[in-house]
Amino acid sequence: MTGGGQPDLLRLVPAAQGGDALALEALLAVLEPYVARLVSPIALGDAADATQESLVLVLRNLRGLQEPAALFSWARTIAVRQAVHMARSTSQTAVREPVDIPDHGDEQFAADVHDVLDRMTPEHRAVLVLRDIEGLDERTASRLLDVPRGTVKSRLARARAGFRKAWQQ
Amino acid sequence: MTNLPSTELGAVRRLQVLAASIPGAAYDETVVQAPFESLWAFVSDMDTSMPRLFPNFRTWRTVAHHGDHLQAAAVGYLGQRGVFDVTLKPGLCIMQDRRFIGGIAAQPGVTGTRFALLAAPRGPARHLGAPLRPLAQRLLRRSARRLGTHLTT
Repeated sequence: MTGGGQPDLLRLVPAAQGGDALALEALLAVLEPYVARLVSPIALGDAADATQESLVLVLRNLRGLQEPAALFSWARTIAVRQAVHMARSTSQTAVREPVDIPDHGDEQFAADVHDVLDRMTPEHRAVLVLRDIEGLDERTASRLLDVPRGTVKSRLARARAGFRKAWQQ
Repeated sequence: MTNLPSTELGAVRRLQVLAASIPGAAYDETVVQAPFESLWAFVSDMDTSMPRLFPNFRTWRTVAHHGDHLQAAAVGYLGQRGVFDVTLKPGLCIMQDRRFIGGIAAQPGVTGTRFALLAAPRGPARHLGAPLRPLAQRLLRRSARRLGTHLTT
């Protein structure tokens, strides 16, 4: 699943790897909504910074990508790890600013979802995003988060239970 | 699940991402006391705006325009000629020939229009980008200030 129609990755990725700035910008345009969708529920108040940092990491290291068709799954790994890292480091110190809720759909519902997610740890938010939103299987989520499958399973159970409990309050 | 929190970077942050990803890129950002619409109208008239914004262009002539893609012929102050490919979208412009990469971004801010410029050498000269970055940043800052003066007087 990508952030929009499947772009011409087979052309754009090698061009960007070779220093073509227009191809780099085209990749940024297709990656941004995808990365933002992954990162925002994990990083919450730091969503814009986490999205920006993730995209910098993805594009700066693009030369290391062997297979252009794997761009989105490769970006997903970088983005989720970066979001967890940023959320973990700021959750200990930061006073959160309210995030911008997108101006579509039910704004109160979006605010409620944000509030519930805000009560969870970044690790729980990440596993919830990967398993229940991205639809990844346990093995892929475990590899992506660099934790054992058992940890993914237990985190997911706790995250779902925590989400349900907070949602009902 | 479309109601999950999400975010959009905006044109200036997008240019920051590109500046951090292009080796040797120089970047500068300022706030221009002019409405976004008039600033971007000026930028979009590239035959006029490019020689003002980037001091390495003596002339710039747009020769083809398809959607958000343009081609232009530029002549530098030392007589060097370049054929530029350009992506021009609302708030974001990226251009390149075989020796140079340029970028422009603007978006409405709290006290004015946030305006950012990027410049980087391309091709064999790209290794000069890092040592020349302080100089390039000073030139970009001067260009941004000149634009501010031009649009507010």
